[in-house]
This record gives sequence, C-alpha cells and structure tokens, in this order.
Amino acid sequence: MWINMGPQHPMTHGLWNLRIKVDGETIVDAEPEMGYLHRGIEKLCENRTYTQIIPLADRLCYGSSLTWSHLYCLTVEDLMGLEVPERAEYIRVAAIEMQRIASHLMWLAAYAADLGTLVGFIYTMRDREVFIDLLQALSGSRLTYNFPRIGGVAHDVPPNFERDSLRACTYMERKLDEYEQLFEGSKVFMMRNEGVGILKKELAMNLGVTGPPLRASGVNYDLTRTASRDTRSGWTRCARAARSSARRSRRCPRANGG
Amino acid sequence: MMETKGSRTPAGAIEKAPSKVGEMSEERVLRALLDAFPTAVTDYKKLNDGVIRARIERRELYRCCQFLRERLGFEHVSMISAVEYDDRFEIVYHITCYGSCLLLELITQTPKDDPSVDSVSSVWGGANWQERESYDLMGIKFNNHPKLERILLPSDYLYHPLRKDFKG
Repeated sequence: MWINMGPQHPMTHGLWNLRIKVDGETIVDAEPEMGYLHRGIEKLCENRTYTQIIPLADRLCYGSSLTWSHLYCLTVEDLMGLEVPERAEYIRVAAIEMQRIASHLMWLAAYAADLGTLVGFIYTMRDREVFIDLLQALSGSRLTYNFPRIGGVAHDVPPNFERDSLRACTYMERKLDEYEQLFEGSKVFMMRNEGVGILKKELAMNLGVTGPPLRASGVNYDLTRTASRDTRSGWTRCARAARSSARRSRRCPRANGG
Repeated sequence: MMETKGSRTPAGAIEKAPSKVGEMSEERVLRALLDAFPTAVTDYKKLNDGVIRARIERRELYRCCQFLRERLGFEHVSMISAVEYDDRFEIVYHITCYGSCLLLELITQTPKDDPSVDSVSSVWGGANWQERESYDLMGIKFNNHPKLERILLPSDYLYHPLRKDFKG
C-alpha cells in the first residue's frame, strides 16, 4: 500500500512529500518528491551583485546559515583570488564552528522530538540558545546572520567575546555527558535506533553521502580538513565502521578531539 | 579562539595541511586518463594543489567515468552542473577521490541543438538527482537515466528556467 507522508505533515521538517510503500508496519519502498521549498535562489542570483547574494546564501539552510554564506564568500574569493586577513579568518572559523554546534543541537532536538523523547527537544533547544546568543552578540541576528563578507567579515568581535565563547564551550562540554545519559538511557530513543538504518561504506560513498553520516559509515574523510584553507586544516575527526542510527548519533570519544 | 583543552592544534601553531596527495598525484591521474582516452581528453591541467581539470568528448564520457571509478578510485561525485554559453552547453562534474583527496573537474560539452549526454547515474548513485536537477533547470537530456523527470519544479512546468532564452 502506498501512503503519502506530507507535504504538510508534522514529521517533515520543511515541506516535502514522501510517498511510502508499507507492508504492515514496515516501510519497503519510498519515493520522495521535493521542490515545495524550492525558492529559485539560483535564478535570483542571476541579476544581483556578488555582495547582494550573501543574504540569499544565508537562507539556503536556516539551521546553519552562517556556514552557507561563508561558503559562498569563499567561492567568490576563490574566483577573485582574494586573501582574507588572518584575524577575519579566525573570527569566521570561530563563528561557523559555533554555528555548527547550534545546528547539530537543532538536529538532535528535531530528531529527539520525532522519536518521542520530547525532553530531549527541550534540553537541546535550551543549550542551542547559548550559542545563538553568542552569534547574536557577534552579528546582531539570531537566525540568518549576513555576517561574512567577500574578503573578510562585517565587523570585529564584540567585547568579552572570547571569555563568553570559552564559557559556552565549557558549559557545552558538561552538557554532552548529560545528553549521553539522556538519550542512551532512553528506551524509546534506543529502541527506534539500535540496529536500524545501517548504511554500508560502499553504498554511502556511491550515493555521495558526506559529513558525519559518511564518517559514521567508516570513511575517514572531512572536507573541513582536506579542502579548507583556513585554520581548521590540522584538526582530527573520527570515523567508525558502518553503524546503525544509534551509533551515528553518538559523539566521538573525546580523545579524538572531534 | 575556540580552543578548549583537548588535542586540537594550538592556535599559535596553525599549519596549512601538508600536501594532500597520497599515493596518486595529479600528474599520475592525468597520465592515466590520457593513456586510456588519448583522443577524447583535451585541455587538461592541474589547477591547484589537489585539483585537476580535464575536458572530455561527450561520446567517451560514460566510459571515462567508469574508468575513473573502477581504476582510479574516484568514488564520489559531489556536483553535476550545466552551464550555458553562446554556442554550447557545458556539463561540469566534480569527482572526488577519498583515498588521495583529489578533486577532478571533468567538463564535457554539447551543441545547442542537441543538449544530451550519457547518464552516469549507474556509475555513481549520487549522480541521479544531480542529473535530474540539470534536466529540470537547464534542459539537458541524460541518456539512459533511470528516471529523468523534473525534481524541483512541478511536473507540468513548460520551461527550463536557467536557460538564457527563458523569459520570466
């Protein structure tokens, strides 16, 4: 039997339609239909100047908007052969790493809510706020920051930014233990994660999977390390052999610094 | 700046990544490509550290992609995109080799009156949707594609909006 999931459905974060074929309680086939959120940004970019595209790039993904506008600026800098001042580069890296933490927390929040552990949603959204506040102090906005510029950033860091960032990191590090207990101790969460969604290494590579899911499938490849020309090139990441969804959501051992 | 205790590189001692090339260098990839497709590969060069660009005749594109994946270990296609010029379409493939961290920018071109090229989605599964996007927005036909339908725009839409002759 084919069932329509979406385009309006509380489970779909963003509008899309997933036609799923079910056999009893098991999904045996699926056919996604996207495009409900296609806003034609590539067409909008055609008659704008390079600087005017930065806010558009922000809106490619509201969960990690800073990363997208950063990437866009990197591209233009590449084309123009521009060098970014070292201080601006540090500010950029600090900001997008905070954005990454905030983005991962939002993922965890949405994931937890989907799987029925609403307390996970509340906790992670609360802690995301810490980083959103920092980004607000930095850029003035809370969701789409319009902060990177071609050749640098919009302005310098606010007073006490370093102190606040370090505090936020210490806070977050303590919270990670709490999350581990919260999620791995949750039967609802583990029952829906353990042993399902295994993505084999070869298939993951062939399908073009990137980022944390790729590393969770056992490929030790990270674009921020291999392709970045910024300060992150020496960092280490961890990869694991192909694992289930539960293993994918688990953080790296701290020794790896990932 | 983001330093906490841990094993990250200390802020003072930032180093650019060492040469990212493992066993296979840019030159060796180009040499292997030229040996396998001596007449079809044109205008090849090393663009940057770890980045190569090569042009290929479209009749050999599929075989070249198979060769890249099976012989040279280019497992990942990260982008397929179409560009319109006055006299031709160009289709650009970004293909990555994880093992030696190489990026190959493979370009093929089609005439304006026949914008079609062989699909590589049987080589890389990840190419499937990318090709559908190029079809949807630019109207490139990918031969032997398993499901060449619009992916972003409604299925009854009449135009390919990224083309230069599209009047919004």
